[in-house]
Amino acid sequence: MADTPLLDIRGLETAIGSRAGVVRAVRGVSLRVDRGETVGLVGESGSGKSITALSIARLLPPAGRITAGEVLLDGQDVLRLSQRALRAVRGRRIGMVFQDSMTALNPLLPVGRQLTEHVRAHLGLGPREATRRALRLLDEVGVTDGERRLRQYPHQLSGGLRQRVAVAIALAADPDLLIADEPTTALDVTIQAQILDLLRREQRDRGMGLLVITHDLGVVAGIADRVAVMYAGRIIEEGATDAVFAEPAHPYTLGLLTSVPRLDTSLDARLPSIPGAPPPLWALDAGCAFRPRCPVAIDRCAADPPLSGERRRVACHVDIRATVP
Amino acid sequence: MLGYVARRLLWALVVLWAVVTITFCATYLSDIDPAAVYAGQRATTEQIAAVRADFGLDDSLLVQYGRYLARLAQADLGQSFVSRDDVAAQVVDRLPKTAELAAVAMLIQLAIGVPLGLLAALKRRTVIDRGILLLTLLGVAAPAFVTGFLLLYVVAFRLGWLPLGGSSEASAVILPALTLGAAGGAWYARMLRSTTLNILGEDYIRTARAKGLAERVVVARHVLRNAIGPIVVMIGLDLGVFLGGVLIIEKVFACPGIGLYAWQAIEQNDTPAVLGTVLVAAFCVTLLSVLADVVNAVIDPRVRYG
Repeated sequence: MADTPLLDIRGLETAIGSRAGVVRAVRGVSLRVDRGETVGLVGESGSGKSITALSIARLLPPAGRITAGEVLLDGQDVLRLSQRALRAVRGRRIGMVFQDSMTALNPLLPVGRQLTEHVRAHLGLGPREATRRALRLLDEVGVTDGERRLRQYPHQLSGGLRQRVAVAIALAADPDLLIADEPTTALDVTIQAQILDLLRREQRDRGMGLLVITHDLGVVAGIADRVAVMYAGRIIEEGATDAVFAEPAHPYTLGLLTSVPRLDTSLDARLPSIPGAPPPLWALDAGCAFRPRCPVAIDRCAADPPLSGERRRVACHVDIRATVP
Repeated sequence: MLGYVARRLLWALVVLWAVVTITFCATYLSDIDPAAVYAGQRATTEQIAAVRADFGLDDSLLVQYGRYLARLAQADLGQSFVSRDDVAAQVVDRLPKTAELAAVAMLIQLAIGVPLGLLAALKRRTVIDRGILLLTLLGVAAPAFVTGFLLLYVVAFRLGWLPLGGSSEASAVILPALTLGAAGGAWYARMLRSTTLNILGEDYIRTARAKGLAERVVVARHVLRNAIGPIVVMIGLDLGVFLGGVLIIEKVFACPGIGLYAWQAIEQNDTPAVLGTVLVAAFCVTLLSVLADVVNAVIDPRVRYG
């Protein structure tokens, strides 16, 4: 078992049907998350990071379809599970936190009900035990006055409290893997830090695997051991967070990192940005998707570079670490 | 919660006052001379003038309006020009028949609409969904007098399974209720389908699925509960309309309810009876819609605390 990663995504392909036809939103993504490890999956909107996250638990919208690949959870392919077996994985082995807790919680059910319904199903607890457990969980995620909170409705809580409740719901059945899809995007900056703290602490205390999906490089820097950067449905660079941030190997990653404002840059200086916009997914050719915007593109880029390397993987024909001082 | 109910009731009162005022003005503006209708076709000019003086029709508009409001406040809807009967008593007499029709039609409507709408949404884009869409389109599009006569002809006349119109048997309510309920049920099915499809796309449904809940739990606890609100509003409005008398249905089936009474009143230029039934209908719609709002507030905490 020691060699089997907790989550091992292999060659995942997900297509989304849209008015413009079928779009390959995820184009051959391979990614591992080990026990006790936090992996950040970064990318702009439309890069396929959220679709990747939803594919793991097969929670795609009706228009979405996984067309190829494997999602191995402890070596077992989630994509091949029966509906019944899949339900035993969702919530129980994989917990999920979504972006906007206002819409992610049912407005008509008290918090307590939403915190206990799946625990009762998964762990076979009675109502009283489930409530006790819910109170413990609320305390654990930093929600005070739990007795009252359990009776309240989502709209009666602040955004930060709601997201803590959402985290508690995801953790309620002690999952091995927590997937957090933009968990802080809808929150104020100070609350963001609190929620990140909470996720980090829970991941450490429980020894879970944590996959954080975000567009925010600051979130990744603060929480992830490893980072994978997605562009146009592919992972284009992956490695230890420190290493990638210190020395990005893909021109897109480099562009992303240099376009983050820093406190020590002069206010007069123009913030560098990547020229152009991500290509529409239905207009991709066989070459590297970043090529049209890439400052160092060469002729060979007309053939899509494979993601290669061992601990540090890059999908680029050019070694920018050698060319950029 | 109590404050909410009080606010809704107050608003209902304002609406009713507006309805009363508008109908009052409408009769005043109409060509029909109430005194002439009351006095009858062979009445002389002197007799009509006597009637006019007798009923205070020569008083100013405002005085008449005030008198009208005062009488309404005592549930006095006046006296029929034709039969000289008390309109309020006539309406109350016919209310049970109409209420029976309304209740049975609503039950049929829900029994058709809720399962079909839910099924169509859950089986979206399948043959089942398309079949239900087509069927309900027919139900919505077919006019009540067509389906009504069709049912009467086939079920009552040809097959003889149920009594023809005008019967006082208890089973006489079935055909008119079916005519009314089938159309409403088709309408409910279509509405519930789109409501449910919207809800299925909500984030909290994804959350519920991400928890590993069984699909039937997701549907019953998370989808249905959120779909009930719009249904309750529709039930409230429809019941209000039904209770006010469904003219065409009651006419087609010769069902002696408020609707038929209103129909006859219109045919005979019987202004007090027309006004009375209009006001009763408005009262029913307003009251039931307030009731629906209150039920909604019980279901949805956001309404209650909002």
